[in-house]
Amino acid sequence: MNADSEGRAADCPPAENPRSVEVGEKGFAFRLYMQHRESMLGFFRRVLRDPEDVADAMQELYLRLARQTDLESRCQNQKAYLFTVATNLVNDGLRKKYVRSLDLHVSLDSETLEASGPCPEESESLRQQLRLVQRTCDTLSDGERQAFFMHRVNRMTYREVSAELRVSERTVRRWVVQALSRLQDALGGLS
Amino acid sequence: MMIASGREDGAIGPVSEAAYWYEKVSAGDLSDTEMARFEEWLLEPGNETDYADCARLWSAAGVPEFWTDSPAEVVPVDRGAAVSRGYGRWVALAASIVVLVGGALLWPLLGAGEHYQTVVGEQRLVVLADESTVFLNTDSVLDVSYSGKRRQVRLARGEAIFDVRPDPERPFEVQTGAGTVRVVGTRFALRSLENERVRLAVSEGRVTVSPGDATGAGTSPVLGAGEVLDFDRSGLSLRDSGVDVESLLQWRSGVVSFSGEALPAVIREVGRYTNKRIEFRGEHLSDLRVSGIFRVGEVDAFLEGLAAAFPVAVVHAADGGILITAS
Repeated sequence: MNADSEGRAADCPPAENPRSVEVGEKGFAFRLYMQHRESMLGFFRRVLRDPEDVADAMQELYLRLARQTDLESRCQNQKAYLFTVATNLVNDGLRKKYVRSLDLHVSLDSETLEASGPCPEESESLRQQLRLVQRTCDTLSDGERQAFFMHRVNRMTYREVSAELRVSERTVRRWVVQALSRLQDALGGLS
Repeated sequence: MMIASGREDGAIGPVSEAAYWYEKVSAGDLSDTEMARFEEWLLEPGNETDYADCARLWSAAGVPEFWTDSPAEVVPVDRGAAVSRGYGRWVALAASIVVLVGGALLWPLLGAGEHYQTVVGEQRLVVLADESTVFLNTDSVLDVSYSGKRRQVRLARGEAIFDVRPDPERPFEVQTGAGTVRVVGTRFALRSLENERVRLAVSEGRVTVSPGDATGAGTSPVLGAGEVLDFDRSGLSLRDSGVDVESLLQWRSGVVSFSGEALPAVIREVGRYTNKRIEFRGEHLSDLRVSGIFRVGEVDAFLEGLAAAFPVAVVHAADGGILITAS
């Protein structure tokens, strides 16, 4: 066999079991992962922050890709697909860890702020951000707040929320998106 | 960038595209056409970040503390009952934003003196401070110590694949019980063998090995892709080139494949991924060759397959051990 790394893929013998190549190092999952690694690292860092959680998420992402049958055909839109997998991963897999990390950081005094940021200007701008987000969030309508709360905290399906609030599922979804959008605007307009 | 949305039942205004996509993806009902649009949207600058912010808020909003410090008060029962307002509701959200920013700023400082470990059957990916990655296999121990001048890690036990970021100013060194491996920028794998020996397999780039103490038995020639080397403290013991190194790295995808290995070797390999003691009794079966796939974490399924394909019986003993005999 050729030891040259470029030649290796072409030289590799036909596998006895084709699945082993599909999920293996040379396979599509690995190439896909490596190609979008930076994007996905950026995503998980921004969402999870804790380097250990980020590493766990990256591994889990890779394993989910490697285990996915028909990956290549499911993956016409690679980035969209990866973000979909990553979204599901964040939404279900790391919830417990997330709660833990949130608990660790609920105190919000000036010491915490100064410890997290490198300079006083950073801390001041953080404080400004907080005030602005709080004001923005107070403008959520009752519908938005209830729909969002029931769906996210009570884990009610859209159908259940719809029955509870006696509005259509479509409205529930819109309220939820709207609430998320307001919160995100408050965050995004600041950074 | 906004998506206008219509009105129905209540006041609905415009929503951000990121929120629109995040909710849709979370609900899991994107059509093929929508996936193509989502892809296009993600490729525009800044949108990945907005999407991540939504993910962050979505997760944050999933815990009661986001809403209040006493969640029991706010569970809405009647239609029209508002989630209680008040100062407490915002405490956790405020904190989550602090952490978001603080975490990003602190990132470059992390990475010194870290310890990573996998238990038997576990695999994990470790992303180091310089974005080099280490994939740890079952039952492995890795210590990381980065400084301004050097990147040092120690593989105390087990097996790992290293993807090293090139940095001529800061050499990357892996210490093992048998010696030190030095790297410029590369991918390679290390595996602890019996008797304090270590197997090095180079997949990309260039590597040198110093067996024993860094000053001791001298340094190997430069090794390149496709080379595999066994070494211990006293020196280099076996060198092989033209090896299919990729097959030695395959475990990182959660799969170990066998193509014609002897039965006892296969059982030993699978045994690395379980705490159960596997005993093989059947000397006359030692020449049987096994081809197949072992999925990490599915030891029992693999042994079942073995019993179905070969004249062996798999017996689960009362003490939790596994006995493989001729059937």
